[in-house]
Amino acid sequence: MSKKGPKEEPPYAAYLRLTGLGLSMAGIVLGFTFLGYWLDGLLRWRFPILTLVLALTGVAGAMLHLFKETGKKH
Amino acid sequence: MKALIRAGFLLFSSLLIGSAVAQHEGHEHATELEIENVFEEHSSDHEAHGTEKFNPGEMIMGHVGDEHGWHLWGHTSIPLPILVYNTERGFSNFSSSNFDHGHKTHGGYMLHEGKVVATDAPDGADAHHASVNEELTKSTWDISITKNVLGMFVSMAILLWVMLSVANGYKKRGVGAPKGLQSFIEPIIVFIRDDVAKANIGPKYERFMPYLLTVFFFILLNNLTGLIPIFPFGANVTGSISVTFALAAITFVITLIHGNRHYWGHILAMPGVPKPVLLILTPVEILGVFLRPAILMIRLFANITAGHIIVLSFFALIFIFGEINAGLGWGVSIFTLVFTIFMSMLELLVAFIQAFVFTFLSAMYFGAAVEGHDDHKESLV
Repeated sequence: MSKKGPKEEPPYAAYLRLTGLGLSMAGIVLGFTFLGYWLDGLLRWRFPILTLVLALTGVAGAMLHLFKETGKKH
Repeated sequence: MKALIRAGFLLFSSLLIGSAVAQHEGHEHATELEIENVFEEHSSDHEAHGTEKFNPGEMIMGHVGDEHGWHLWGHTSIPLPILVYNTERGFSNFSSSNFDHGHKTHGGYMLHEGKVVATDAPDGADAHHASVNEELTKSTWDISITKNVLGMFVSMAILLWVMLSVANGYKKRGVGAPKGLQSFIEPIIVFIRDDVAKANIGPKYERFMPYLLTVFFFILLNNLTGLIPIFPFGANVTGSISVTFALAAITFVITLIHGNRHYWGHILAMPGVPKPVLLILTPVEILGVFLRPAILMIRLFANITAGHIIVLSFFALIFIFGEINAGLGWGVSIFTLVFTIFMSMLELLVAFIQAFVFTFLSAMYFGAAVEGHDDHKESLV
């Protein structure tokens, strides 16, 4: 089927790649939040600052991921 | 490093095969017992259950989930071998009929919420009043042939028969015009090769073809057999998170093994991205390596399970309304029939789509792992 080059994605490839976007964004936020929660438990700080900071970093990371996935490429 | 990972993977797979062989040996002893117990009818003390109120949640979860023994109808079920390994007690194997549908204890074990747990109660004691030995349960490994495992064996046997007969066709007739089963399978194989493997992986596609084809046909056949409600089909294999976990784990391991310098470079330090952004992006990318197979696992499991739950809910409606009034139950059953046919058609479509999506995304991840610097340049043009 490919005439132009060795690698030519079918038109639905982009759609399929993006079907997991919502879950992966949620996963990134959760992953960062749990890391913060775990670190807070380890350090036993009075205020769970790392949970808060890393949860927000997770949101930023999820947005970065969104831009990276939708803005690409080839 | 690559050689080390490869060696580790080989060791892991040989251990798996080893344990499978051990299971098989244990299974042979159990078989004689089973034959006697097949189609065993249950005693009258369980008849009382018939008068119990219908519980839709229990019915649906019972059908969607895995079980020790294959329920056929009423109180009739086919017993399956229970294989348990306990670090203190050693290996034990017996038929699941000894548990009497979870009502009795046997060999120091019993069923608790569908799971095999250790107990100190003597054989044949009432499981509902026996206490669970938490300490021993923790060191118990249940490797029984459950309904899902047997369902998987059945589809593997079908898959082997289909593929071997197709392969024989090529042996006999060469690459000429396909015949019989061959003409059904050949277009699918060509489709996976051209539109999935070549499209996503590029020139290095050949080494991934065996896995992609296996995983496609395995998922497709299990999705389809899951739709047939008659023994020996109807086990919800691809709707079991353990099965989809194993499939996604294989995709994950293959991606890691084949990941080249270019792939890891993009994960650990994406080129052309400012350093402060990398502080967030690199952890996100590392998380992404694990998230991709996790999503693959959830997608297949959720889609198949959801379809089954919807159909079973329609059936549950008959009994819910039937409990209010018998006529109402019959009336609802007509709507249930129509909706079930519609949902089954939809599930038939989903069976193909989900098998395709799993294969396609696996190929996409392999493609990203083996993509060279040169391929990237070519695709930019």
